[in-house]
Amino acid sequence: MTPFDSEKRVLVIGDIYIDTHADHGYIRLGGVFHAARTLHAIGATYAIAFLAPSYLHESIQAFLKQLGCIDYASVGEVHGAPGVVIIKESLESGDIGYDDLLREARRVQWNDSALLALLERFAPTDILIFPGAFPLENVIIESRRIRARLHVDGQYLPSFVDDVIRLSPLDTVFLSAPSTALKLSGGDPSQLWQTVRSHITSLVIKENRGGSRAFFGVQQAEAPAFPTKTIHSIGVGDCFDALVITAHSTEPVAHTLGRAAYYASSYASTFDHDVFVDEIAHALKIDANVCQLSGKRLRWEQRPQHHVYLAAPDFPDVATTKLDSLEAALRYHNFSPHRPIKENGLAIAGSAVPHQRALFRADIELIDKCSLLIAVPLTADPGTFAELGYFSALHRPTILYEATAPIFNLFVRNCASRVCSTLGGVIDSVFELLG
Amino acid sequence: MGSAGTGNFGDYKQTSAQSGTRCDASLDVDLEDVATMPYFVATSAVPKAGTAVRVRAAPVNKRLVVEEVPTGQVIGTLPTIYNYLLICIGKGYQYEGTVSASGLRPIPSIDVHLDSV
Repeated sequence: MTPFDSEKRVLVIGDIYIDTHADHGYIRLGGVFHAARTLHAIGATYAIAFLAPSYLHESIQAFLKQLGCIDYASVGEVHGAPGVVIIKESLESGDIGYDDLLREARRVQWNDSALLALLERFAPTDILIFPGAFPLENVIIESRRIRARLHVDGQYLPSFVDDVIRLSPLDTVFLSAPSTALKLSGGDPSQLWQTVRSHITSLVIKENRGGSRAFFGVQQAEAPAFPTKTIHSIGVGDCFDALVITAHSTEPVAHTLGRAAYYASSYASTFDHDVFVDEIAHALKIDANVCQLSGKRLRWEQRPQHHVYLAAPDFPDVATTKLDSLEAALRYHNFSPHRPIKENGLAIAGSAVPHQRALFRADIELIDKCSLLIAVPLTADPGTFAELGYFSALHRPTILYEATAPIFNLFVRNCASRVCSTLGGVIDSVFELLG
Repeated sequence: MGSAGTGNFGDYKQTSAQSGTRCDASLDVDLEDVATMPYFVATSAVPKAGTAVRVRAAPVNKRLVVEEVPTGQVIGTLPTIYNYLLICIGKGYQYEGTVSASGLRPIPSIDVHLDSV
């Protein structure tokens, strides 16, 4: 028996873009296509209501047919912008930095009658909405007329709490950490739930590589993430949303979340849809094992307690761009990185011994506070390697980040728990080691 | 002025360079939890380099594990990054190989090389 409810008819509403992966030289249709690929892979009955520039319609229709989409309609004509997103970094090491070309000039010509006609024809039981520059209230009002369950990905709501309250009642609202809404709730998902719980049935927080959590009533459920060799992070959250809303409502929510995370990691491991479909087909056969598999769970609000020591030649005369990016990425994921030279000071050759010892003790105290050390030898700095060795001897995890060149020293490589040459690899390893 | 890229969407085409999936790839893995696994607990030792090993088909305590072939005792867990192997095993893949390196210092550790069969 499939873990997905075959009685559900899912309508997905949202934009379609061309995802241009600048780092891979690869383009494919994105936006609601991520949900479409997922729904195709699990054999769901689904339809798509999309907004896109007219030049894309022929390709959209052709690909939706290949993806087994039962029905579709253009509900919004996009003018003024090509509907192209440049993705500079396909892995979400930090803030990906999508560039939606000509987004300020983008205008939507909304087609209410097309949406109404599709709702009438397809009669969805569930509607998954990815908000954009279209009249969300209209969509919600029309959707309520047919009594469909309403699920909204809240990531792009301009003002999350106000918008959720205004659009309520809603069945499921999804949110990804980091988000402004979470920040405004003191970084505490439970606090955010208290704010919206009287307006929605369930709040699902996707905590990136750290797992996920669902709040419903007075209960909550959580599940780990399943790290893998990630090829891209684009649309992985949308894939997750589609998997959650199509599951049987009678199963434990933790199983729903765990399965969604496992399948989403498969989505992130390939651009090849046939490979994804094949993996999901086999995962469906071993569902019980998948739902109970151990992964990585690092709650968003607990991550600041993980202090990360950045061992590096953080000197005035060294280019520290890679170190700056690493620090920014760790903060993006809510960890607490430390740059000892910035915090404690720089030991200058010839300075008084008491001053040097004070700096040394301060650095040791900082090391004691940290659960992870990342060594970033931007130059062949003995201090960086000494700190790596010291931390490693404490039997705490370490990462060697070969940011500028490979390091061949036997002790350096083998003291490190992980050796990474990319920022994405470092972030993956942080979650692996601390989760 | 020439153009770069394929000029087409790359959605559904498997490139000619890809002849297999990640299930087909060989693995070199530093096993986890060695010191708490039955083999070490029973012997206070780690299997020597060259010992035949394999991935057990079913998870143990929610983890994919590697067992020593002669005794069937679990010697370590696969890092969770290899959880995708569960699907591969479900497809009929098996993973067998040998211990490539092992030691007790600084902590009990076992490196294995695994091939898909």
